[in-house]
Amino acid sequence: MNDPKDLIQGYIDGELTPIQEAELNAWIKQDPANPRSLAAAVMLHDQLANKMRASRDLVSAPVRFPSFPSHSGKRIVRALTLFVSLATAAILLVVVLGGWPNSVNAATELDRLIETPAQAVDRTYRILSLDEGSEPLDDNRPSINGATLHVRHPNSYVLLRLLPDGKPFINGSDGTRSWSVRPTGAVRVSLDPLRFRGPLPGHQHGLPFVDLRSDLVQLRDSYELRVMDSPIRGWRLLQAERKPHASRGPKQVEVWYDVGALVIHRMVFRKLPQARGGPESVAVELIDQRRLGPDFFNHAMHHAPDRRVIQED
Amino acid sequence: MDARTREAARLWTTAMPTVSAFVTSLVRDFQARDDVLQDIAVAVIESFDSYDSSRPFIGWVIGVARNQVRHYYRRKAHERMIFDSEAVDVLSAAFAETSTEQSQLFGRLGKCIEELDEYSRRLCQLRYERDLKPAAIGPIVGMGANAVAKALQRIRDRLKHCIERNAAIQGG
Repeated sequence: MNDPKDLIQGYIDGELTPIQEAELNAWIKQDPANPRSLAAAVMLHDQLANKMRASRDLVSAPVRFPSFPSHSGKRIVRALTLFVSLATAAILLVVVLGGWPNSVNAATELDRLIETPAQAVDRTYRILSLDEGSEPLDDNRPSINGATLHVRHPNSYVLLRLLPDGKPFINGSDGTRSWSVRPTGAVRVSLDPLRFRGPLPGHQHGLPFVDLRSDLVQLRDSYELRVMDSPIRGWRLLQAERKPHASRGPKQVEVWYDVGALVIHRMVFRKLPQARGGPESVAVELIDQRRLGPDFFNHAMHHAPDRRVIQED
Repeated sequence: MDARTREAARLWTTAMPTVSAFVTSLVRDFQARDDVLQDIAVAVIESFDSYDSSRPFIGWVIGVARNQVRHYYRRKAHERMIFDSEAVDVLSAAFAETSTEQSQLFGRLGKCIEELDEYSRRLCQLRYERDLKPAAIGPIVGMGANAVAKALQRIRDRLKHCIERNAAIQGG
């Protein structure tokens, strides 16, 4: 189990995985002192928010980070940070037991997901390796495990990974130019939209998880599908197994989604080809939905202004 | 305003910091918290006659708040509360035990924020004024999400110690 203090702080900041949320839910019931600890931490967090927001409202000078939407702008619904606490345990149960088949037609379900209009919100995902054991460390290669992926429809993304020394390695695309920002050295920019997509889960295998719609179309064309009931109220699980003739893509894909809102909460890629290393199985979990700033996917937002920029084309 | 309404308003004002934190603990989003708090204030005034003044007000108002949070999640069918009802029970009890003195400790918070270094205040601005999560703050400040989360944790620890230290000085 994680350190309870980390669970509390992670909960406050909306950074817990569903498994950690379930741990927190169990932990606060274990001892009467535990909910008191959580209450004390939230009291400080709540008061801190009040003080900071009051200061903001009093001070007319803008804060120095103009790229993000104003606090008073329209709030985007953030459904996915609030997982039901037992969801994870239930997910694991279903994964282990194989779930319960549903009479709903899988192709129809996938079509519903495909036809869902692109949302005006940006999505933030946490990428987790599902492999047992830790990834071998390479000083020059950031880990995909724990990486954060921001996505804007249709082709913009920012992928933040950390090197073993904790320094960030960021690459992304604003939809027109792709770019790569290492901790040091020049920033590299290319007009090739695929130039720096290599690290994205599934990219080498035709499921780059940035243009979700085209990924789902590929699932429909190249995978055998079945729908399973989920023990999480309002959710279903779409399981996809690569067809024998299909040569690309992970062998299995799971799509956990909200039936009503048609929002995909979690995708799992299992048995990824290992030719270029990386984990064999990864989960991509939606942790937030909100509109990021208009320039958020531009490389300039992710490095100091004096960094040298090399245009590769 | 009659005497009963004045009494309701007085008790509500005293209890509000605790109720606010209780709501935050369940909905987390500050905008949603503000909306729910408004509903709670209305419910308190409307149902104040059912409050037994021989019992602590905070316990009663936490019950009202819990109902309003339940209504909130009913309206937001696509959002989910991570705590089950047993966990909400123990959390409600913990907040109901919070004394007025405890909540008043935070009167010193503003002074403690002023004592933060510039970098810590910047992180607080991004987290609380802009309402950004560590994953979104990371690229702005050149840190990973985990490092931002840890930094925020340390800042909150420092603020907590500052508040307690000031309380001890004033109390002692």
